[in-house]
Amino acid sequence: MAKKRPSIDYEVCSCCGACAAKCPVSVIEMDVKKQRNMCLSVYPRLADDNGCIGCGICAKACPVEAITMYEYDENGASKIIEVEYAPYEIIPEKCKGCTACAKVCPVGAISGKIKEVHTIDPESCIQCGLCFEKCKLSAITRAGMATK
Amino acid sequence: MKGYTGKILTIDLTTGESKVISIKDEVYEMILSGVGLGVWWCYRNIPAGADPLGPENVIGLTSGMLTDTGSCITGRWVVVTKSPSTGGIGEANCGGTFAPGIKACGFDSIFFTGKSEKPVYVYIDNNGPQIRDADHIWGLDATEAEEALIKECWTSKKKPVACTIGTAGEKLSWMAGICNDRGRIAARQGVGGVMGSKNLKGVVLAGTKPVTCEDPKGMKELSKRCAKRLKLVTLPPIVPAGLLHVARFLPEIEMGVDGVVTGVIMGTWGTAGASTMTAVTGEAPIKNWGGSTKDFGLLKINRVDASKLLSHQKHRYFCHSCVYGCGGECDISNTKYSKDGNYSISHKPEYETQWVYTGVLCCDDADMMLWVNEYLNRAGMDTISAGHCVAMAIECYENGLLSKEDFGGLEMTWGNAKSIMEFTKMMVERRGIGDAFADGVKRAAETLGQQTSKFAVHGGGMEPAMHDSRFDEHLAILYATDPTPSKHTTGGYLYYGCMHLWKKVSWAPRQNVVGSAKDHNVASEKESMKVAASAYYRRLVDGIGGCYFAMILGVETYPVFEWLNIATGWNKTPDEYMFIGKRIWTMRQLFNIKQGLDPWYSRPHGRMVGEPPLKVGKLKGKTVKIDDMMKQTWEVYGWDRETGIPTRNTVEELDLVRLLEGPVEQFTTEFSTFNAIAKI
Repeated sequence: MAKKRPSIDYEVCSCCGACAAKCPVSVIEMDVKKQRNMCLSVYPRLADDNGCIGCGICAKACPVEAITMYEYDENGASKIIEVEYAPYEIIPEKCKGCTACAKVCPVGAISGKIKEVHTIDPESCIQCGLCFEKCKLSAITRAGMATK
Repeated sequence: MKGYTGKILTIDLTTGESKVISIKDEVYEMILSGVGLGVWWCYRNIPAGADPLGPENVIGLTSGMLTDTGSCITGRWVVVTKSPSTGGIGEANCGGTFAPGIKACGFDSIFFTGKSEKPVYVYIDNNGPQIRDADHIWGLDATEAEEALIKECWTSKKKPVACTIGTAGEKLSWMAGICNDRGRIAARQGVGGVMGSKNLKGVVLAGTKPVTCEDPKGMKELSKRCAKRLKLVTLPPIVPAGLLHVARFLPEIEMGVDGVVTGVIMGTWGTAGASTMTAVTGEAPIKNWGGSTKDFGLLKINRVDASKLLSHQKHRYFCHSCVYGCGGECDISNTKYSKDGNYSISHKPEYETQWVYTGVLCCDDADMMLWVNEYLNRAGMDTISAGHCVAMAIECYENGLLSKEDFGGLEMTWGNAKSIMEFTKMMVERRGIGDAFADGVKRAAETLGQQTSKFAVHGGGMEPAMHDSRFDEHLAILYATDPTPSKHTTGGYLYYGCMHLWKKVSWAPRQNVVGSAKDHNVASEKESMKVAASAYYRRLVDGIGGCYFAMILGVETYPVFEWLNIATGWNKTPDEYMFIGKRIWTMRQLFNIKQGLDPWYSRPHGRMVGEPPLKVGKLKGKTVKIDDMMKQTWEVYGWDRETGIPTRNTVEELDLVRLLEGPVEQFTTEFSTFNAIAKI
């Protein structure tokens, strides 16, 4: 399965830490690195590649667009063009209440009882797409995107 | 999708009842988020004459309107409450990583009222708040408590952020602040004492909600422009700060430089880089505002200047979304006093701490200042106020008003590092005579007797910052007329020159690039207009979560007005935004009036305005005609010239009667109510 990961351009990065603060799974850490004026300064670094969920919220948070999301598959990397803000939604007619999406959601934005229609809290959804990929019933959609 | 969440959270610590309240867009259009929203809520919910340390007081933690929207240098959070030290509106702001945490929980502001029976902390995540027991961390210093809370609450993948109070807050000191990021502190106005009075040890935020705005791409385009200008304006760390002594060769010429130049100083040395210049030009007060460089000369200054601090710096760091980076982390393990408390890592002292514990106390022991910086950061006490208390104690001792026995055997003399350290501990712990000084110099003078009040340097109960009001009359007016008196981060003659407001705001007076020092010593309508412009602009910057140092980059580099329009989709002109700033400024004064304060209360202490004038030094013979200037400036604000009370015309023009006294249902909707007491 293709995985998405951020790539940080240190020529552009301002070291402000907005990405690290916003990362919903706290896998971006502030490390120390030498700047071109010989000062040591903090810099963001993807500290845990396995823990990264590829949600791209770091790229959205970066005020100077130093972070680009890439999708890696068997053919290599391809840049991801982000769609505008649009949280995922569950199509009630298709949802069987299997709870797979709720289990995979990293921020607990999906709620619902087993065998009942689940719902996604649009305010909490970070648009990582893990639920979209997990749902075998194609019950999850997003404005501007086709269902699976 | 306007940059703000449109919701606030209120928690009653007495009953545990918690409410999520929707705020209508109209309110944001009138007063923005951040400080405006905080003052508005406090005005409406704190009854007149409320005890600042009583359960009826409200304390709000507010994030900025533009925090986390793709703008840069907008990551500061503001604490708003009724201040115990002034009795009026209390405001303190702080950088670090706490502000985005508030918005990530889905709120613009979080307000606490009531008083818990026992120590508690509040945990908030996407699901709402929980009030949890804090017995196990009560008594820890702010840094230890923060680390313990984060460890305890880090149960999901997201690392939480936390703010805490230290010993000073627990002991209800009027000089206590609220800390985050291991000792960064919202220090002023005694806000930590208010939090301590509610038995609230800390607040932990673990939300992960995204923040959106109308045009994220547009926001980032402006941020990139701002960052590009600032990115390279630092010098190698080997450049000595002593170079800034050159300022003394320019005694009569002052330059309202492009604000980006300040980035060179801040980026290289941090705010302490200013100390060399301020000392030689007369801007930095010496010997409790009664001395000059004759008492604390260049040799001593060099021993404590920014180069000395830089020699301890491990690396620079940045606040959330900041591209400026004035902060630094220092290794103080090899300093003289580090064994006392086992301190190793500390924040680089900023200018105020550096100067108040050196120049004001005539002490050239940089190691002592580094120790005090870490000690007070952990104790959660304001270094500016604490330093003034030490200075007052020394003068009382030197003038025979207090004896060695009163100080428990301490030799309280100028520059005596050991005594200064011990007395600082006594204040934090409220031990011996330290108890009398733990609530600031005004309260100390009331306790110790009228004869000590001549050494109690304050304005309206708040100790002033390390920028001499006799040097710059703009500062004097702002110290005197700000509803949070003695606040130094609002403006000043040189700072106004850096803001370049006249390029965007139609009525803001122009200031020449090169002027004479005499220019800012004039009580004229034009100068008052400049003061008013920087005061209103500052409220906007506070409202967006911005930083004072970003503000002095100039409106072209730091595009506040454009960002606001892009984030919200509004189409307001800079003049309209300045009108919002005026509304917030006046609302703060109305809060003070409601609480029964006479606006003359903030008239600065005699030493701050040269009554009597100094006999030596750069400020020799200088007296500020503060009464005339206050009247003149009040008039420009639209407040009564004699009483300082906003006039009926002004209040009506700003639509404040409806906003402050109209039915609350016009502006809010109750979203949900629940009991937040944790069931563990």
